[in-house]
Amino acid sequence: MKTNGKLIGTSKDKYLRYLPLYLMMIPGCIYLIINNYIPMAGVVIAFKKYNFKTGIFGSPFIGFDNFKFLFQTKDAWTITRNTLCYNLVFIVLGTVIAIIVAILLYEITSERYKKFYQTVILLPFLISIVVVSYLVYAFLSADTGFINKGIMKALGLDPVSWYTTPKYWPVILSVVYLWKSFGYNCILYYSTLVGIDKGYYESAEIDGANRWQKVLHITLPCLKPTISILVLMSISKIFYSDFGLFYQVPLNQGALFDVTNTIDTYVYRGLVQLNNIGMSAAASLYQAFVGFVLVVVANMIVRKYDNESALF
Amino acid sequence: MSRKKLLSIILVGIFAISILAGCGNSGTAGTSDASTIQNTSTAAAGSTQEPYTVKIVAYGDGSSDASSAVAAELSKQTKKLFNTDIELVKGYTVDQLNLILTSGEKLDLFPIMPWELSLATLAANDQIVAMDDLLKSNGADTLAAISENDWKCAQVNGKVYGVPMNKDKAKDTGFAMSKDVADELGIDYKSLTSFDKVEQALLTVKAKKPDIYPFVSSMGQNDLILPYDDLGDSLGVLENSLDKSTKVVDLYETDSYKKFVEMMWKWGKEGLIMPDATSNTDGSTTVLGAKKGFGFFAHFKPGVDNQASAEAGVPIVHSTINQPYSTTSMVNAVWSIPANSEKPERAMQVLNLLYNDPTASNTFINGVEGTHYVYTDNTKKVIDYPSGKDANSIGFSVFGWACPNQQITPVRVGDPTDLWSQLNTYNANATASPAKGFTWNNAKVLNEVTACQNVISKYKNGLELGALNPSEALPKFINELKAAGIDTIVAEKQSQLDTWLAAQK
Repeated sequence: MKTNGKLIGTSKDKYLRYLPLYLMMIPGCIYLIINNYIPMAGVVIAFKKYNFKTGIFGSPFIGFDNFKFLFQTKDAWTITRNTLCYNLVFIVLGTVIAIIVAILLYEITSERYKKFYQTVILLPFLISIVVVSYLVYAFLSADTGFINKGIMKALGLDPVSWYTTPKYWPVILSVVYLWKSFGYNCILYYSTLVGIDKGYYESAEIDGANRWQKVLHITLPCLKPTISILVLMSISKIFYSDFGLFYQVPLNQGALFDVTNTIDTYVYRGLVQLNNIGMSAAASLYQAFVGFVLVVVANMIVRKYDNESALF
Repeated sequence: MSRKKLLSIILVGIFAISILAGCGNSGTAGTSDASTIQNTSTAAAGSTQEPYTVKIVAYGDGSSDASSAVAAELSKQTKKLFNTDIELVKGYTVDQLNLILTSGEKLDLFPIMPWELSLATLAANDQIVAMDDLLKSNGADTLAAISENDWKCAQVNGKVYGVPMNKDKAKDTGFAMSKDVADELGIDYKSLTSFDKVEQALLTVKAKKPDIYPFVSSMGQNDLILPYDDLGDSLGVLENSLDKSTKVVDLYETDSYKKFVEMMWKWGKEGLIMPDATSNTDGSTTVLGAKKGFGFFAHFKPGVDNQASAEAGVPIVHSTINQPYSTTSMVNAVWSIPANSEKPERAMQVLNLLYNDPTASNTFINGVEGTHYVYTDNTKKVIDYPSGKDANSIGFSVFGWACPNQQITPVRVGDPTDLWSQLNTYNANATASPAKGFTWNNAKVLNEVTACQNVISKYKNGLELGALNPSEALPKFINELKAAGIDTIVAEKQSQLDTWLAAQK
């Protein structure tokens, strides 16, 4: 009796203790269900010849015809390659640059300058991508752009028609992406750095460690969990591209599609401009499926090396 | 501590409830919008129909203020006749229209321009409704007013899917240019009747007026002024609609296309085309109006110079390279009723009124008298902008040709008073393509069409504006089209055309 009552009492206590947390979960859960789970039923469109009169469930099944088309043309290969390669570059360079800048920021001793630099590097992250696309245009416009008019002319080089020459765009897009996003990631790393016990550095100094040694043996090991979580999260999104970056910044120029078309822009164009719901649903399902496989595999690898850093 | 906890619980609870309530509200808002709860007390005695609001999307820019003023004026008439209110939306983009059509948002009437949307695809997707029965029950006047041949052009699979706009049904193509610049440099604009002569003029402009672009693009595109019949969607065309051949070919493999893009490439190399022509976001008339350009390729109809000059704000003249010809695509710019319309018969009543009633058509095209236009004479046959206002300040762009029937409305100052009869003579005298009246049904090859359009969007503008080198890009373009299934489309189109031709005999 007594033990029973005690047990019930503790579980009740537990519920009461966590009740606010459960309540806080509700809005998020509802959002997820409405926004992410219910629409999943729509994946059937990928296997159907969509008819607007009969709707999603009334349309006839056509098996894998929609996918057949995706893979028959070069499209599937191009958009997969672009999405993966860009994201790999973004993850590697993005992480390295963000960590370097975070460490540099940490080394700054003057509080005033520190605040100033923090603000400056975060600013690009807050600019709308549409504005960014026009900033880029101001640089790259064939006629009035800063690069053609200022730099190329000064160097005695011929002006380049940037918006019709695909070979430059992998670099341009990477630079734009890094410029825009490094500030945010940098702040994440910086906040971890601030949390590192100052005692480590003090004892290292007593032992005669120089700055570089401190970074290598204290800062980086302390950053490891943050790095692995952030990288893992990016890998889980490796099949999703930054739509604004790939759609707005190249100004939707056909000549650049070979290097700027990613799965997301392809799906968008298929749906909105070409009006073929079946094919864009097929492309999206492909994206979700391969993305899912990648997350599971990446997580498996991480679990092997460092069980605590794995997501699940 | 415990008070704080209590407070947090309450706050979280309130937050959760407000979110739930928010969802509930937006859900019901959606349905009430659809079932159109209208103010029934104002229902007119003349009509016993239940109240309904017909939502119309119209071509051309327009502020919401101007649109609702026009809608209110139009509603006065429709309320009395049909107990129907009008809601008017202007300034759509093709993407927005596509989203409305795919998302199931309420819409009752909208224009299908062949260069924006494909009638055949919309019909194949069942995104628009077949109109034959509706025309008989609610649109008898329209049915009678339009010729049998024109109705044929608006058919898919033997069913009518739209009411053809009573506009120019043929086009001649050539070079449009700024009159001021042509006069200043002594260019005789009427004489530019071939590509070579246009090139000479462009070279003159480049040499004598280096501060303006000789050749400009319109919204990053060029008008491909070859006399081909696009047979619905430019995927599989008749190379020359002025001769009798009915062989369907891939436009992008033809010699005339090759010559055109090679010419554009050469012009580009010579610096005759504006830089970044493919990413230009202004219309060609806007560039000319800003005095930054000389001319562009375009297609024409009677009165077009007056129309273009009004758009640009500077006088524009043109030369003709290809004589007037008429294809199905020139006729099947239509007004259609989407499947999203809850009461297609009510939409048809309004469409019928807009096509046949001069007052309604005038309001729909020109707006409210006194606010958007004034009559210049007592006969009420000519209108002008009210004093102190012009094309840019009335709040919307007037696109009469994109409305159901401009020919029952007054003409504008500067137009000949017999403009409409000139237009009809022009339509009647144009050479008809051998495939005029044929409508293409792409239902069997929809995926090939999408795949080909993906390829086209990659190369078309770049090639046609001299930004891509045809010796490299054109073979790639052709090969990718083949991989995407253009040959299947051409074969399917040829067999449909042959069947149609056989039935015409």
